[in-house]
Amino acid sequence: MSRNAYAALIAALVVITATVVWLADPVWRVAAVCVAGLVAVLAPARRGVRVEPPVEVARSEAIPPEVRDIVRDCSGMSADLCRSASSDLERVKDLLREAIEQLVASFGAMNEHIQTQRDLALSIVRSMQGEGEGLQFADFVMDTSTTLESFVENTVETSRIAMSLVETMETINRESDAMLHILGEIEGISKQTNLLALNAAIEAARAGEAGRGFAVVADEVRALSLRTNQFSHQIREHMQGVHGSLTRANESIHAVASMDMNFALASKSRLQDTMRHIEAVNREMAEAARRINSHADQVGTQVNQAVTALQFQDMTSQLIEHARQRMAAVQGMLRDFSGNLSRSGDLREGLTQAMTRLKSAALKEDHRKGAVSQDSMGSGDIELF
Amino acid sequence: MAKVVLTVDDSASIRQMVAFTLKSAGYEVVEAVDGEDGLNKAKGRGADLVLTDQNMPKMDGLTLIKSLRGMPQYRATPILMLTTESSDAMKSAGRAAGATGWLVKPFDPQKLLEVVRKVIG
Repeated sequence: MSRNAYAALIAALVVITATVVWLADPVWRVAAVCVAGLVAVLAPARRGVRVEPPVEVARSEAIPPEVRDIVRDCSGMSADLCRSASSDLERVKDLLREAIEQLVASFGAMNEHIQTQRDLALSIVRSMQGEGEGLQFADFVMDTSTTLESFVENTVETSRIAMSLVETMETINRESDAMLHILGEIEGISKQTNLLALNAAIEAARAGEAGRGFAVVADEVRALSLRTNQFSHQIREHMQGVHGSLTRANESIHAVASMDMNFALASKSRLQDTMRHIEAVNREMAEAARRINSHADQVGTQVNQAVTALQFQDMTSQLIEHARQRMAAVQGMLRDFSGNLSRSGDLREGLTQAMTRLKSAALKEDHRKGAVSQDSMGSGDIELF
Repeated sequence: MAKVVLTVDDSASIRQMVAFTLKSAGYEVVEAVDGEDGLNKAKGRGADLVLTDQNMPKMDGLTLIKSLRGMPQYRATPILMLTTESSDAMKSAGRAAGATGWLVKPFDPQKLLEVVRKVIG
């Protein structure tokens, strides 16, 4: 057997082995097919070029027809496998595209919802802190607290004044009592004057005609003392009226002075508690809004990273397309190779044509190489001309 | 009025991501599926910025840029290339064709926005 025939046999065996491996584990399908296909074609071709001129293959005619048939069948089967792998790659590309489109839409919607949530939280805080229009609850409580405070202060002041009024009233009462006492003295004097006038009248009567003038004076003095007594009684009645009024006023002032301020003080304290509570709630709301804001920012950053990462689909689909094109080139080459063998039976001619096709396929590699050179998902360079 | 950005890419997901990024910043985005579609849409309604991929069916990015630069309306419009191509040779070809800048995919949405703001405000 010549070296070429030997090489062809090895290639055929490799193809068969690859097929077995492929059947055993689909994961190896693509790799096995590629390796087997390329080895089957390239090994004899290279040997033909390097070691022996291809023309010798035709001359030797040492390749038995059954070997040629095996090579032809292997090529045909490999071409079929390439076609399956190619259509699988196409499906992978479509599935990826569909899934990534949905993911991008979902991330977009998620980001929008987070932004809306943030805006809502901010508007709640703004309205709580009174940046909106109309009377705010905190302002209302503050106003009420201030009003109640001045009310309590006024009440305390009133009470203080009432207490000093109580003292004044006591002084007035003492003065009034002293006046009544003096009035008693006047009434005593009036009574004694009346008695003296009566004695004088008696003495005047005893003196007879000489005391007649004196009797008239004594009567007049008595009449004066009676009038004095009468006035004194009137004054006493008025004084007693004043005394009664003063006593009632005293009672009222006492009532004002001892009025219970606990209610006002308790209200004021409750309002102060409410104010502190509202301030705490406002602080918590502001803090919550700040955190919602920062969470929204973080979600935004994460979404940006996801959007960057999801662009792997654009690169992988290009790479998959390149792999598919290579697969299609190998498939076409194998199909034509086995077709040629069936028609002409000329192995050398078939191999030469296969090599030509592979060379033209290799020419496209340079173009593909530049298309996707990234090997990580970090964002790419930006250059402004 | 919102500035109009024309994004030209055969990958629907990239168009989606560009649109999502720019719309969130208040730009109006018009999408085109390849260079030919991009050229038609650029003629149809004026764009303030064109963002194009390089490798696309029917018409590639460089040809689109050359065609746009041939139109008086687009002589001074910023055109950015957004592509997986990153070789210096391709970048020089882009610069020669009249591209304003070159962005290598994948793009970071924040950085894309910064560049867009820089070139059209």
